[in-house]
Amino acid sequence: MPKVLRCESLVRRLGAHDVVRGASLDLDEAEAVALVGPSGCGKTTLLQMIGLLDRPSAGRVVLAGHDAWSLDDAVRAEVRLAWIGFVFQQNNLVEALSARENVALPAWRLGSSRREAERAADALLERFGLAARRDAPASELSVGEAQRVAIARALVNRPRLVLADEPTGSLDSASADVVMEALAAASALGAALLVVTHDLRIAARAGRTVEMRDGRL
Amino acid sequence: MEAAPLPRSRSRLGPLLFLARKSLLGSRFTFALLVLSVAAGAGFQIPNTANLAGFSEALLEEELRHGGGDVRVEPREKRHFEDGAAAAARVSEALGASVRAAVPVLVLPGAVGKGGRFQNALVYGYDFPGEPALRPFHLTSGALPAPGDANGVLLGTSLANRLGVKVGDAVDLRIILGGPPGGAGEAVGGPPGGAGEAVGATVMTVRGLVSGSAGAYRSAFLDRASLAEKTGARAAASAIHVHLDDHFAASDLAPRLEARLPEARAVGWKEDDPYVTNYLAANRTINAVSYAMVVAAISIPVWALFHIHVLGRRREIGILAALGFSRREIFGLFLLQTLVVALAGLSAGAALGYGMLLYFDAYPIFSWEALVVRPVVTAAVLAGPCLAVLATTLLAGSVPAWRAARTDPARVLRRID
Ligand SMILES: Nc1ncnc2c1ncn2[C@@H]1O[C@H](COP(=O)(O)OP(=O)(O)OP(=O)(O)O)[C@@H](O)[C@H]1O
Ligand SMILES: [Mg+2]
Repeated sequence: MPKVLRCESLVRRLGAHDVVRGASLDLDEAEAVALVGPSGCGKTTLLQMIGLLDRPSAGRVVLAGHDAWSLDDAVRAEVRLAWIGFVFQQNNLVEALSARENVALPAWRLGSSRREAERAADALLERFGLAARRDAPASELSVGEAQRVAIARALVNRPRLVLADEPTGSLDSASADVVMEALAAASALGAALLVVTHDLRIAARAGRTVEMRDGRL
Repeated sequence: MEAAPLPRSRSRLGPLLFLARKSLLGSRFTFALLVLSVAAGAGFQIPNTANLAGFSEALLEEELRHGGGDVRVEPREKRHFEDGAAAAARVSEALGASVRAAVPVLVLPGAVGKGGRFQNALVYGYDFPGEPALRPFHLTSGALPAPGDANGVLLGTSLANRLGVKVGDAVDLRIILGGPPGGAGEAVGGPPGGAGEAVGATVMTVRGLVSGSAGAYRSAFLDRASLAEKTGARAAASAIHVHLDDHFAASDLAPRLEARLPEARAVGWKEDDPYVTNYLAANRTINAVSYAMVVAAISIPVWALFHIHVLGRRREIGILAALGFSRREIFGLFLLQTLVVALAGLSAGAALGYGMLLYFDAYPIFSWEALVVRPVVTAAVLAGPCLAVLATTLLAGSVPAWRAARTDPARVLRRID
């Protein structure tokens, strides 16, 4: 089975300090991995290198067989668009857009017509219990609602890899459960899932837990 | 391990336009200020350029078409061309098709008086009626003297005002004929029978009043043959006024004419009339300075406001980058917003400019004699300010757009703002 993601000895130097120092990690299709570790150990930095947002100082990120950081900027953007879904801890949404517009945007950009994209967005929003809120401006959604919209948006292009950085960090446990259900749905669709979390309960739900300490896995 | 084919999609304008619209509507106040500054720039530069073009055009029209022509041809040695019409024909022939008209004139210094009070005046011998578009005067009242009218005279309005005369009145005309006495007229001040200034004195009837900023307002015009007779040479002309289709060909044509007609001296208006040349140069300079001001007045607020606009959207830019928008698309997104601002500002500015043009057409910035400056409204004149405003806005907006494209998504997304 082809690996969705292979990280080879990733290093990220920020200032004079190696924040990530030689992280290697493989992810298969439909595999869910929880990344845990103390604050400041480099989890977000690692996720951003894998998500093609932050160039590693050394090492390789291989996505579906491609050395992703050797691709040019436009192709890397394409890879993010088609293969990767991102969920951050908070403030994921484009505030000027409605919930539905946020979810539809990546699909529209990837090639669907605007109407098709909105239909796909509506289906996902309904699945996450947000059908009634789809026309609400992003700025008027509750934090939990916004996280679910963000997950819907991360899934709309059926990515190979979903990267979630403490998606439940600012939620109570009930909302966190709803969000985790949504992420589990992503796995069910065949995406590999890498989720950063402090919550051991959530980590337990993933198939595998990887611990990060001082920039190492 | 088999590599999956890389995803490939085309950049699409639809989502970018949508995002640009939402982004601008999300910052309505900034958007309004941006449009206002572009509109102000366009709204001021349009009438400025049109007025200055009007000034240059009116100046050339009055000073050259209704003045001394584009090239003034005089005899090199002799006092006058003995036969003005023949000389004009030789000039026309020598210059060929570029000549619109070659007009012989006999200009002598003189004075016009009424009741013993005299005013200095240039006395023009002119072949009436002449071509209206090329007359060195504008008839404002009365009628032109008929060809051969030995008693009729046209007086400049300023002259007529000072003397208090009107159409139909009689005036005393004194003309310094120059040279030794010989023709008609009486000798004054010279030794009896010797060389001296010959002054012709005649009573003339005012047939009409004329204006014209090139000098007509303080000149007297009469039939050239009748004036020439007083000098003793019936057909004499002191100069040929050459009118060209293209004013700016004068400097090149004058030396060519001298080469063909060695007996004549030819001077183009640029060399002959530094007043007009300087005025045109001044107009160009004022226009250039005004352009520079507009460029500064647009580029500084556009740059600053878009810069702030981009700073306020750093997280949004990071999110779009994470979603898969390339740097080029993010640059395009903000440049599109600049384009919308430029077009909206230009439209508003064109409306403002149009209003100003109507105003300046009704209330000209300069109006004296026949020199009335009205804004020139042609596509060529309007294109300058519009293109300058468009280019300035896009260039000024492309700097913050470039910064937006350079935003490091990792940096802005690491924080939770
Ligand atoms: N620009 C920078 N220069 C130097 N050090 C930086 C810079 N940005 C971040 N760091 C440091 O890098 C380290 C890792 O940051 P990162 O955000 O990856 O940690 P994290 O594991 O995600 O922490 P948290 O669980 O609190 O989100 C931190 O110690 C942080 O202070
Ligand atoms: Mg973090």
